[in-house]
Amino acid sequence: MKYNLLLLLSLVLVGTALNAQDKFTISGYIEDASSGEMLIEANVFDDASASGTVSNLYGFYSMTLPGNDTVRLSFSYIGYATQSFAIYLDKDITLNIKLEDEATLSEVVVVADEVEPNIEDETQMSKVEVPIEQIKQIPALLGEVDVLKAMQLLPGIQSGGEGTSGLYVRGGSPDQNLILLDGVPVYNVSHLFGFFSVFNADAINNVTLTKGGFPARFGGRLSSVMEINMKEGNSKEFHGEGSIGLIASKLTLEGPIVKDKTSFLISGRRTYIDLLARPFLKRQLEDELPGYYFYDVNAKVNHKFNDKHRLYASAYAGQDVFYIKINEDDEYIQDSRLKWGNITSALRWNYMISNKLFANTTLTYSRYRFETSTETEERYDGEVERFAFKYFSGIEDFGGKIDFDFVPSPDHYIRFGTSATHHTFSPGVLQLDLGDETDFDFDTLIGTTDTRAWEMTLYVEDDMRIGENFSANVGLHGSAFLVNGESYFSLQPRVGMRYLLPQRYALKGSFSMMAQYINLLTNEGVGLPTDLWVPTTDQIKPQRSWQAALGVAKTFGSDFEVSIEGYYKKMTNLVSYKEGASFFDFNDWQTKVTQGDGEAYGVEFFVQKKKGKTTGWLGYTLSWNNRIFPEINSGEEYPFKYDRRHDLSLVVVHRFNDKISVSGSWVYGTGNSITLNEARYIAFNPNGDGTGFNSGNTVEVPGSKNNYRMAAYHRLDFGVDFTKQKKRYERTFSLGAYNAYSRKNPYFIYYSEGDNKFKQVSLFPVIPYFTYSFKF
Amino acid sequence: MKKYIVFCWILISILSCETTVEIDVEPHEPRMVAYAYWVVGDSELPLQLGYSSGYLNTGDPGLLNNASADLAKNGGVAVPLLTTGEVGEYSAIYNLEDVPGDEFRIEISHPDYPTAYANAVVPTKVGIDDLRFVGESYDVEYEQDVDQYEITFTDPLGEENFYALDFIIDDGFGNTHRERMTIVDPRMVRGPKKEVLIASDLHADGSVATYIIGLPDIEQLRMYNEHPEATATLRLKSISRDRYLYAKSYRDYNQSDDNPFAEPVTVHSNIENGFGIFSIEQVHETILEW
Repeated sequence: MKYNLLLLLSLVLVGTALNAQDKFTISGYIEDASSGEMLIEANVFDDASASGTVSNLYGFYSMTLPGNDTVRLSFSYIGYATQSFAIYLDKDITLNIKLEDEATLSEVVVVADEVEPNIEDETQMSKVEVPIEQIKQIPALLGEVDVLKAMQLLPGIQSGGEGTSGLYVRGGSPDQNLILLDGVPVYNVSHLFGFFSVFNADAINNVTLTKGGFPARFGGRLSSVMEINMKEGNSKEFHGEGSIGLIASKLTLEGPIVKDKTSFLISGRRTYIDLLARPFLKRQLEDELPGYYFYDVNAKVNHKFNDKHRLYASAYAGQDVFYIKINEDDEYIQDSRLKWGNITSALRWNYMISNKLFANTTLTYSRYRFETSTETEERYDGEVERFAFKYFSGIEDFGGKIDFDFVPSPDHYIRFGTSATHHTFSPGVLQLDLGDETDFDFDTLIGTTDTRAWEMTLYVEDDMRIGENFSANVGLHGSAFLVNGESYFSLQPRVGMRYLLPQRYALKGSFSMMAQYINLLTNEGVGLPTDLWVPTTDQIKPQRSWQAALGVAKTFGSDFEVSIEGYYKKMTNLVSYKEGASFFDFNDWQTKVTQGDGEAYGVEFFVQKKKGKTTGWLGYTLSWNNRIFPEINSGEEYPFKYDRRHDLSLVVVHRFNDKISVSGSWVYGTGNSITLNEARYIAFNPNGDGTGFNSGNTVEVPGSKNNYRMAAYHRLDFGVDFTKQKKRYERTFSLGAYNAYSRKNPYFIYYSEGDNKFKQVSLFPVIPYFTYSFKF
Repeated sequence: MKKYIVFCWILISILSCETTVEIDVEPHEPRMVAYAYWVVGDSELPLQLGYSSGYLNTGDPGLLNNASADLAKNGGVAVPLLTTGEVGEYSAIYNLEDVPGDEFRIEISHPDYPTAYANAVVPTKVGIDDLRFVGESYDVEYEQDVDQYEITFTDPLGEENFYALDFIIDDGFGNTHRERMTIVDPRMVRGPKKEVLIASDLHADGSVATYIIGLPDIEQLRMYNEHPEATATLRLKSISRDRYLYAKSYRDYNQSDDNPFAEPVTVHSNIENGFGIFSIEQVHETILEW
């Protein structure tokens, strides 16, 4: 089977190469004329042959067309004026394109009729993309623009609950999402227990999320791939932007180091709740000083050697710090800290090997670390007693990959590549210092030691067009995972197809198999930073899934993209804590988990308008999501906590003019499933000596797992932006409200023994926000 | 660690608005609770009955009188389990014979509760093939010397078998108690009581199963039990799947009882329309020399 596939692929490659001999290639980069920023997935279309392509993640495009004839090429991108060229093609041509932002044009310059491909022209289904500028206009909690929260408003993508950043994509859990920042996996995407995401929108160029029909170049996770690409930095002029909000401020600077050759971008954000609250806390809590802050920094430098070679270096670092300092008259001193955060970096080399072959080589580093520590010092009668402990867990990756884009003809876009990643898992180590020395010196280790593993992938895919109406993306993804002498291999076929029906209704279908070798052990409750990344081992098998989807897509008018998709996803070897297990013990994590299966299916409806004064979308998902684990719920099937029958979101952004724009969003979701106790009884156990029974504890009987559904979640947010162009800069006042009608949405439910009632805790009533932002 | 988490919760609670909501939980219909642990060879078979109460009900669960219970073997004539006069206690005088595969059913009825049923099958008796001393060790948790023994038994092929192991000291004066054992083999785990180990044949179906267990230092035990008739006995029990699942789940339940972050545990039951456990077990004893 494997050899047949390779043979078929070789035939396709050779055939297309031979076929291309009387053809010529136009290739180059497409960039923003004012900033030099590469435009990702910009459209290139040839009127004569009615064929097209898109630029890749690095702005590179290549089209091979019949020679000795005039071609009419149009280059377009949302929000930019389309450019068209008539070219007599008698040789290979390099054509770099600089598209102008429509907003920067003094008049609307109509260069050509807009010929942008629509949703029905794409083979790929189950992919969503929201322009970053639109994301920035969606009202957000405390005015903190949040990429992940914006994604949660799309069909098939759910939030876990009030305020959380985790994504639940088509019935998957947050660890089943591969979140790539400039191609580097980010393991923890939350600040402040999930209320904010780690991604600073000011540093981001582009966000796409694929939730099904995965092309072969993606792998390693079951449910979704989210690609977040940082801006490259303006290579023409120095610019900056920033904002001052209720809880955080941020500043982004970008500009050329060598004009049109080397540019940089640096962006930082920090909260200041701790600084603002410190005077009040000092008054209230005489001996104690608690505090919390988070920060993140993004930086990127890129250098263009020539049209063939470019080098990028990017990095991200972010951390949450929660602390309590206690000083009781210098007799008792305690310093406790809870810290967690990511560091990622990438070094990338783009090499245009020929006008048909593009290579991207990347070295990556990613680290997530959770750490808590306490140091105490007690003095009495002239003696000092010390005690310290530190607990840490985390994951650290070093990786390298090389990806090739080969465009032999307009009918084939072939991608292939390979990668290798070395993981080091630290699944929880406790260090103790019992204070024998005068300095803190951790010498006692309790818990699991590091586990090291290699993960390798190899893929090939061809995005092909067959005839006028049929296109397909066919590929194969292979992966291997080597851990503790155990090896796992997986071959995952991927197929996506599109057939254009009369009246340009596109019928799309896809099938993909995925495998996942790393797991997140997480409490199903709040998003605590105690989440633990652990590998597949000889005892814990890799998670696997297959997903099939079928849908119809069409653009109505020129603006409204409409799609309906049905999907079915089967997942096996999912990992969950066993009944009774929790994070808070130091046993081997493998003894605390169990594996089982899950299935998710549903229908998603999506209408999106990306252009014009009014933009936004309406998304609706009807879905079912179940789990079955032999060791949970007596082996009976149960609904996943985030089984959400109905999920609706409406997002509208309207720009009245250059000065005022308004936005609003409304979400509705069926309540989460939780487990509530139903009854109590007294357990009796045999005496060991055969003398009968002794009464044991009173046993509380939970109903079946996730037997109770919390109240539905709904919320309205709105915001208004007032923008004014000043002499040297542009400023914007943003006003708005989160949860405008103060809906008391359920966050969690607990049993109150005093009242003998279950009580619901809601987090956020109406929360107004105000942000001042500027650009220069 | 917990301090931080609790502090965060307090912080969140301060920020949040608490609302008492009427949870639409279906009212719990009280059910009977039955416990019967029988051993092949017994002639008096005890049954303990109680009743459950709804989680939000004000009444507590308790013991149950005035119930009628019948025992039937292989669908045959029923034998009544009669009250002993103690609250909630019933028993039948019946010789529980060593016939593996015999199926017993108890049916319990009471006017205030739905009729409850349970089935149990006499398991195949599995004996200890070999028990030999392999060395000395030290129990870090209990800070005591431990004698390590290799225990071997043959699991019947093609059957689903479950085992429990305990170590009984008879002081010669008529008093018996269990002694704690240690185990590091993940195939055998502790039951609800720390003195009992349990295992399934998942890893050893139809083969010779060998485990290394730790027993308290035999010489020291002998010093504490000087009576000439004092004995130390290792018991290998063949138990049912339900009994095994009950032991595991009840252990997990107890261990997680005071941990608000633990996943909820459902204590296993094989009582239809009720709670509790009905099990029949076979016991094979090996007396250690001391």
